[in-house]
Amino acid sequence: MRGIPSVLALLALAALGGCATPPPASHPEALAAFRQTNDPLEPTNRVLYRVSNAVASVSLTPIARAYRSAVPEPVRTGITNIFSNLGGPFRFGNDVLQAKSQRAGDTLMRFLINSTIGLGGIFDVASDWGYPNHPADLGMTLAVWGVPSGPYLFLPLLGPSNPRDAFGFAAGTVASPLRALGSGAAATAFHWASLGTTTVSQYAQNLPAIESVKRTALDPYATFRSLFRQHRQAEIEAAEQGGGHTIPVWFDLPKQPSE
Amino acid sequence: MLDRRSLVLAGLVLVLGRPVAAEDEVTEAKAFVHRTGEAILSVVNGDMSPGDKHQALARIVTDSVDVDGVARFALGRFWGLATAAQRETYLSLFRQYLVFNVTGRLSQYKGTTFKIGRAIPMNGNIAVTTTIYVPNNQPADLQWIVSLSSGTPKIVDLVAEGTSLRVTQRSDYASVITRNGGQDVQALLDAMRAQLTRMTSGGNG
Repeated sequence: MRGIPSVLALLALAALGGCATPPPASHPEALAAFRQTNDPLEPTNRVLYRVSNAVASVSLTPIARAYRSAVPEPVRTGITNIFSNLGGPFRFGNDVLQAKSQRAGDTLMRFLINSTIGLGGIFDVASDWGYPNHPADLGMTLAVWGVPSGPYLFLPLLGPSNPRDAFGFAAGTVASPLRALGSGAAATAFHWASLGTTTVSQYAQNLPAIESVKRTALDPYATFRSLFRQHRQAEIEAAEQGGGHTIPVWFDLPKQPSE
Repeated sequence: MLDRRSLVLAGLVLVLGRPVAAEDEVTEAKAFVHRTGEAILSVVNGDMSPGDKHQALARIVTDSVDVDGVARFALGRFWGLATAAQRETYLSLFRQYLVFNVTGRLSQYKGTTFKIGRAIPMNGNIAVTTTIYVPNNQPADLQWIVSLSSGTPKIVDLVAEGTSLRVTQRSDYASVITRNGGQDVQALLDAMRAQLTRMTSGGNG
């Protein structure tokens, strides 16, 4: 429950901070570009980006680096798979909320196959069997429902986001099925341990890409903003186009006109 | 003499002819991506010295990528703002940047293999999907956007996880120019030159 107020507090803080000045109306191209960038809080976002980077470089980055060098890739994949599998019911709920029967079916089959034959989610057998993984979260569900993203936000710890996805993340933390395990000390400990492990394993997976952007981009902040937007848009478009029935991808379907 | 029958016939040829041409283009784009991928990997996985590898990869990049087209796309609306001399400088800096960036990255991919997936026409280009298998990494999908408009196939973009390389590059450059007043591309040229110096002096930096 603590998630939502702290995100709201951050939003308020961001709103109080500096705002970017839009270019004058005499430069229509520049104005259009400004609107497209949709980052009116850029000065504040840049501060938060710098602070997050400074914090990560002495905390998350060395941990993720150590994790990458100490744990061999197949084990890392197994750990990622376990936590991804635990998120199955949550993704299923979102697939249903998005009214995407095929994707919901994929998620359900994945959870059933990987929880059993995949030994508690360690092995992603379902992907090989034609049920590929796909992301599904509350931010995407809201997007499919037509909720606009709102302006770009860089949130400490969470990174690139926007009001819609930040709200989805906060609400998702509250609605996580892991919470249904109970509220005792053991359940709380497990929740934090899983959150910590997920964060480190995800960050470790993305670390080479993150470091490559920082090395090669002239303006890493703007590059991350662009990458986040494009990536998110592609995820949402894939969700919007997901239709049909649940069948493995290898099943011989009549050819789609677009293929 | 154009009577109605020949018009109908011409129409039929147009309608029926098009999918065949598209099919040919898809096959051609696929073959091109296969050739280029094989060429890159034979260098990356080969036994040449790092210097020779760099040169061989640079040649593949300049032969297979529409470098100037990508460069113009990446500068976007600021292309019109640049003077002739600035454009010249920009294109030259961009060429060097692309070659260094690509060759620097590729050298980390020893042992990589790839598989060609499906190819579909997309906005006048062909999008060819490949799955890349890098040792110690999970398989990743990479889309090669191939243009056939010049007669010879050229790569105009690479898309990974929904993110386009040239769109991302454009955001980066636009931000540098905008943050320096947005009226002159000189700041970008200076930043690119400084970056190149850094890259060439610090290994694949």
